[in-house]
Amino acid sequence: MFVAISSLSAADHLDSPSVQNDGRLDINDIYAFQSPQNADNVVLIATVNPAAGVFSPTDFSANGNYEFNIDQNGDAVADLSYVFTFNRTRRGRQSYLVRRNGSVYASGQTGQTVTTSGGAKIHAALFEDPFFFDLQGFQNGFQFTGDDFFAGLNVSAIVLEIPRTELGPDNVGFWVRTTDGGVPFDRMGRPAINTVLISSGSKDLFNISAPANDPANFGAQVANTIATLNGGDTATAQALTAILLPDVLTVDTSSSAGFLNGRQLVDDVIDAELNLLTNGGVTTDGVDANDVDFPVGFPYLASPN
Amino acid sequence: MRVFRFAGSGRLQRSFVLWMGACVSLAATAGEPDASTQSRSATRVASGAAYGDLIPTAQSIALFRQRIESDKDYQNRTVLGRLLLRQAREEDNLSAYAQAEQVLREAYRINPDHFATKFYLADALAARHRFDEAMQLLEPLHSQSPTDTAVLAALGDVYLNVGKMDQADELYAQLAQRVSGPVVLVRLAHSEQLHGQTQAAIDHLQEAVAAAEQSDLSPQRRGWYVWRLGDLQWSQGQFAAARDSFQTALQLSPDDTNAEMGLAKSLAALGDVDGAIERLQRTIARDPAPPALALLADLFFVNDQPEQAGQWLDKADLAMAEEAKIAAAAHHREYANLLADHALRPAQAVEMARADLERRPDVYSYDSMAWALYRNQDYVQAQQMIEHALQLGTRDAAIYYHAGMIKQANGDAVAAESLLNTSREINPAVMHWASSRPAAD
Repeated sequence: MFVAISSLSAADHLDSPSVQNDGRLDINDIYAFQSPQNADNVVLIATVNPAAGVFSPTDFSANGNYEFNIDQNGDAVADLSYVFTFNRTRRGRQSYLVRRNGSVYASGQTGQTVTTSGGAKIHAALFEDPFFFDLQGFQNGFQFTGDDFFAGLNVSAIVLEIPRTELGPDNVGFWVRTTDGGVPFDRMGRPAINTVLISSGSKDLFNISAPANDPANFGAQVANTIATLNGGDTATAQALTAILLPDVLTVDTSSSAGFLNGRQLVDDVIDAELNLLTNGGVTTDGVDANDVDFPVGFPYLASPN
Repeated sequence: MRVFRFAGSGRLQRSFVLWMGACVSLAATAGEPDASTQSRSATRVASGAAYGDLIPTAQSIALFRQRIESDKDYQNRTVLGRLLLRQAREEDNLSAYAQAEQVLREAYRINPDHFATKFYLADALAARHRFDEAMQLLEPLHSQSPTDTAVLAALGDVYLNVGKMDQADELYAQLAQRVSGPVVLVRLAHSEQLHGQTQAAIDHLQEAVAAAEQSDLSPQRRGWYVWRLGDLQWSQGQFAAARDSFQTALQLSPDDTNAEMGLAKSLAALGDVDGAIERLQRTIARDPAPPALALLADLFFVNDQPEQAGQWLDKADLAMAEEAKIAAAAHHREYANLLADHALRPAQAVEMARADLERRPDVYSYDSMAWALYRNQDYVQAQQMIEHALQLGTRDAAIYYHAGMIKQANGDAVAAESLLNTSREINPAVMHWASSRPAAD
């Protein structure tokens, strides 16, 4: 069910509330990296709810699911799923349940770290937005000024740190999906794929389809877009497409390396992707780090603004 | 690479992707960032919101005003425009609508291709009842993204407001295929109400209320759906049910002036006019909304207190005149109806009603026009207008009352009696109150 987040009345009180999607189910970014505190652990993070509190409330949707999907054998089909469901906010907190492949895995409350007997740690809360990018400069014809457009904003995030062995092999694929009332809402693997390389007319299909079908559904479109970006180098575009699709964030959990190995909070994915997609034509946006330092320890995200 | 998602709704945001391809031609000229201007934008969005809440609108507005640093910044301007629209609706703040339009026009001037900017500019225009301009923006957006639910709803609403019922119904049907919940149900109900299918409309509104109750909408937002149900119940003469609905709405959203007005009308219709007056006076002391002033005048007329009624009528007249100046089109109908109901300055009533009809040719504007023409003693044109108002079969007691009086003035007593009887059947309070006014024929 869509939630009418918009304001209540209008110039005519009879006017119906606007139809708006629930930003709390809108995925911003996902991260996957070896735990800096324990090399035997891997950290999986999903941030949702862009500019939390501005147009969507600062909690998680009680009508949706937040799915952390793991592919263990490279076929872009989930072999493991950690599904988070939240109850309505009561007295400033939400209780939530985590199911792993359908079985209850953990439960807790937002704002508090949950530790399981198997050594997992979970934290769901409002955090400072860890993404950094000179969006304005990009949209002003790459006239970058080094201003981090996302500085000062907040997101809702789920942080899951688990023993690497719990995921199975060292090399896994990770993506996050949200659903709204059982209906697929958003999906994300690598940064930029959906937002840059999938046309607006295909986004609904992308969001409801499975990653395994990405090459067939979107391969030609993505290759064409990359070729446009890199000045017509179709061979490189096709090679990149084969790497970028299906949209799954691949990570070798035995390695502490960053992007393109998973994605760490400090990774400047913008510079990496600008460089990659423009064939070196543009190499940086001038924003090299988040405006706020990330904490060293779990949950690794900074407190909300 | 993530887009600036919150310059639009979820689906809407994806529609205005940062097309890197559009920038390829500029890539060759893009240089390294100017080191002398490098800075870390430090405008922080101090949450100021309890967990699960929104940041107070005024606070978000202040912060996003600060974030606009460049005359090329359409993203933050679009967000600011959305926030100003929200403020306008939350507070019934007429100047905020104007500010919203101004800042959204600035964003549009900077980037006329930005999907979200065009959508929210259309939203601001529609809120000010400039439906033609809103349509000019929304129709291309709908062509560009035919499944976008926000656009389906907004364009459907515009069509409804300008009387394009078939188009509105088509878009609402498409919307209903894609989304569910109170936002859709209330639109279906609105269309059914206009088509005279009032029981179906009431059923859908009851569903909407139940669905809103199951959602995590705020109590204030849930209260609106209950108010909406009460409003329709009252219009159909279901006074006890309406009273209950308005009381529930006030439990969810205390101090809701519209719910207080609805409750006052219900109490009066059920015979407790003194109680209605007392309640409404307390409401007006807190929020002297012009419609509340007009309602209080009517209640005093019904209670045979013409002196007090006249004082409140004068206040309502002045207040609505002021609003009509500030908000122009958005309040013409309300003011035209006040003038016509009380036979005040008929020529001005016609002028107001005509201005409304030009922008919003729905059944209610034809009714306002007809009633104003009747007061101006132009009974032939009044008849033409009221026939338009009756065309859809909308079960509105005021429309049938006006139609009966116009028929009577045109010499058709039999038809007049039938129409007046229909008015009484739908809602007997309408004619009863009309007959209490000094302007009654």
